[in-house]
Amino acid sequence: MSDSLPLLKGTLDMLILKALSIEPMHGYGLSVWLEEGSDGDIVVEDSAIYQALRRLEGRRLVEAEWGVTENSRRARYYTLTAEGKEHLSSEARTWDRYAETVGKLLATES
Amino acid sequence: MKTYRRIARFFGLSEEERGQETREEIEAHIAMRVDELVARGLSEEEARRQAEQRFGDLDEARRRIDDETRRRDRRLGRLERLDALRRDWVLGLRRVRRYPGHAALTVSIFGLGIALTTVMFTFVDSVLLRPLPFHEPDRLVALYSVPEDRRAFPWVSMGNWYDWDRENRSLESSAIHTQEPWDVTVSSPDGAFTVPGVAVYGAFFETLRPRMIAGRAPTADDGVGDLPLAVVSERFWRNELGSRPPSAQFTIELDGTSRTVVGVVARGHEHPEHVDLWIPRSSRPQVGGARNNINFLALARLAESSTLEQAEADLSAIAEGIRATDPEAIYSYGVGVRPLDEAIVGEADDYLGMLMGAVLLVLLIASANLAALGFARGTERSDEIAVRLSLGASRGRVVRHLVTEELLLALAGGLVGLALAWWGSGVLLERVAEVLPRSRDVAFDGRVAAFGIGMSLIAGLAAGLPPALRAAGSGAGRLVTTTRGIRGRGGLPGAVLVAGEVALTVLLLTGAGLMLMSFGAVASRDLGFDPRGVVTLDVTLTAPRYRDDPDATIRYWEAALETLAQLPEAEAVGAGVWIPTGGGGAGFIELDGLAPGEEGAAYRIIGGEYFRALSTPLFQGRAFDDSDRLDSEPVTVINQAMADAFWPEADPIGERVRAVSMESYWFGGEAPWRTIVGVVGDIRHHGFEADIRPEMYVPFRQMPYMATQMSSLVRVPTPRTGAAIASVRDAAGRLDPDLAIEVSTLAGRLDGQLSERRMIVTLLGAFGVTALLLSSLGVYGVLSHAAAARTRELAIRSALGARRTGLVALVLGGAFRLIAVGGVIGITLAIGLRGVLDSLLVDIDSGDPRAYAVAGVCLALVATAAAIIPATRAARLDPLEALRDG
Repeated sequence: MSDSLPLLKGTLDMLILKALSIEPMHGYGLSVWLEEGSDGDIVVEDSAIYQALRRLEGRRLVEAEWGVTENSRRARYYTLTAEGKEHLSSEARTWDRYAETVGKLLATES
Repeated sequence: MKTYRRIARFFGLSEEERGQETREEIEAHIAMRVDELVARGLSEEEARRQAEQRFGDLDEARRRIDDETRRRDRRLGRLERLDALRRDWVLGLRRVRRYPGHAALTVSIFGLGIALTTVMFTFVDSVLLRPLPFHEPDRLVALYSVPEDRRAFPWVSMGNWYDWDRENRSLESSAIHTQEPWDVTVSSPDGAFTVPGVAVYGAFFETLRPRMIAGRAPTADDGVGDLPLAVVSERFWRNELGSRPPSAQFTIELDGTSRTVVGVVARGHEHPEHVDLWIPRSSRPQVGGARNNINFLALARLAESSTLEQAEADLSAIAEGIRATDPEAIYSYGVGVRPLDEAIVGEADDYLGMLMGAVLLVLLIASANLAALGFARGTERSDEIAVRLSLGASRGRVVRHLVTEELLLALAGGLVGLALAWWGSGVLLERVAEVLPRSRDVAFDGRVAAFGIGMSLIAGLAAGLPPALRAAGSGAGRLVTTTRGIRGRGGLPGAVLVAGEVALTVLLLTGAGLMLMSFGAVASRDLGFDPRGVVTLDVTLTAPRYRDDPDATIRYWEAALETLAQLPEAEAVGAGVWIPTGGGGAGFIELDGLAPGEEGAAYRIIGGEYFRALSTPLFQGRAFDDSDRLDSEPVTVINQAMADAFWPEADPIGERVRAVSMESYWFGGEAPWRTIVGVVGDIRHHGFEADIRPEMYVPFRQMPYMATQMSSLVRVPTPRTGAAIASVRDAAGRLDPDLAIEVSTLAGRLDGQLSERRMIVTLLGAFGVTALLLSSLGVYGVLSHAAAARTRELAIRSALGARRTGLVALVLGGAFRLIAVGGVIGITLAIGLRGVLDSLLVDIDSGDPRAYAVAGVCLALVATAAAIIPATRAARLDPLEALRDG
């Protein structure tokens, strides 16, 4: 955990939306997706994921329903809403522009 | 606790359930990770340790997630409510589009009710509720005289006020002004004209503190000096004086005296109302009988530290002191202190309150009407509602949905009503500005608009909530069992409401009927003279050449009477200082052979053929003629009321009286004894509403000092009244072109006196008619729906051979019961509340059965007519079709 990247504010929310845009997941699934997708670079405390999920639910960007896992465990599955999809694509665009601009500036030769 | 649960459920989950859910989720999460780690070969224990560590401090994490959950649920609840509201509005709007007829009817009914209510409120608010426009109006009071019977009245004498003003410790300042404005002649290069003015004494402007838009307000000291000053109104200043800034050089000639214009009172700050000129005069102490000349109105500003009650006690003590030293002071049994606004508004309070109550009844009827309509429609919509309920809509949702629909229409009606009210209050104001106190303060503003919107929301709730509650309460189970019975269901609350409407309508109609009867009675009162065919000419002789020379005054009137008599249409010509509908003077008199007491009579100076011009009969003796001169025997003519009052058994001709208050001043302190030479019929000089009082007449040649202002009366054949106005004006212009003259007709002047009563009758009548329309609409609506709901029953009866007339009678029977019950309740209400009108009714008893009978019959007829349409429609049904559809 010591080498992992610190998360910028709001980034976790965006990543969760991204994950859910692929398929509905439960909290644990999200944690695994983040860790594996980033090759272990992004590791957060699991509780942070749940707090983010509550926030996203309150903004009606995600919805949740109880379901059953492959291993027959009860888990709450989160789905992206239509609003969530829209939000994700606009956030992603903003992120791209931001990253591009910052990257360009940092690459400037002095 | 139950309520708490219910509220929590409204937001989704209870607090416990919420915590439980989070714990379960965390539990599942850790279990999954443990599974994973165990699969990788860790021991169960080690796996659990790592999983928990990865999750974060468990207690802390749970707390944070719970916080976040609570926040989420608050947000979702808010969004949910917003959504519901939006859905209700959309559904409501959709229904409005689907049933435009119903929407238009509802909006019109609300609009009408709100318009009438708002118009009345505009007046009530401005006249009764808002403070006067002056500085710290709470401290402004009017001072009243108190006679022996302790009933305070507004007229005060200069003598009494002079002592109150000097000795009190509870007033910051006080003042008096002449009671009625008089016509002040303004000389100008374009000819003379008159404007209404009052004389003010004491600290008038310091007390009132009106806003001055130019110059300054004179002080009490200016009055003491008796400087020739004048204060003018903004209206007069702008229209006639060219807005010239006040200065020492700015003088105008008023009643023949040159006066400096020192200040201009802002529009809306005139007091008394409708006055254009204030002339400061010096006051002087008056004792003895002069203390009883109550010709003034008094106002005062309470000292910062004193209350109305303290001022009353303080001033009353002074009044007692006056009576102790001056036993002749008969109006000094105390001093009444009233808030100035109350004194200004006077009796308008009574009828404005009554009219506001009446208009609220109309709004109530309108709401009841719409509620009844809602009940009827609710029955028809029960299927829709049952579907909604069985699909899981909560009752609260259904109620909210139905009420929103009604509120939507009520708001639209409110906006329509406000627009109507804005227009209506303008129209009404124009009509009543002359008679309504504080009418200049009437303003249609945000306050009024807020009232209108507020009332429409209340009315919308009143009309929408009861039917919505009932409709939602009828339950989801109804859908399956809805095979309609033979008889229609759900008509009862509608019927009760319509019966209520009928009752309130009868109440309003009775009130309007009583006021109308009273109006008729007053307007047909015997005035003691015939106002038709009389042209009036007002002239004021103000130039010094008249004022300082009584002979010139006499010569002018002699010439005027002569000239007017020579007009070809003139049948009789007379003149009087105060003619009917004008002002009047009254004072104490002494009867020859009796010790001076408190006898009094109205006092009138006349000339020419006054009684013939008015067609007033001479009962005894003679009228005045040219032989009654200043140097001949002083004479008087009295009216029948005076003869009856003082010589009930004897012949008054030859008896002697003297007018001590009116004449002493002019005859060196000693009024002359006048011999009664004639008795004439009683004249209601102050118009229809006035009582008949003892009156004495004096020939102008024997009292020229007060005859500088007279009105001539020219009797002409009635059809020629219009043409005569022009010839009278020409003739007067030729006599002395420098004088201000005013020509009109006696009938026209009288008509103006009835305008207050006419306004009340018109408004109350309009409310009554509106109520009648609304309640017959209610009867029509409820009956239509009832008939529609009974279609099957009627069809079966028809199929079984019932005659059409029998079916009509069947439906009408229900209507009659409704109308009869409502009518009886209404009449009972009207009898119970008749006291409200007592103070406004003249010559009519508030229990007059004719008013009640007419109101009842009127309503029964109209309501029956409204019921006949649905009844015959129901009877014409084809039984086959009706049964198939049902």
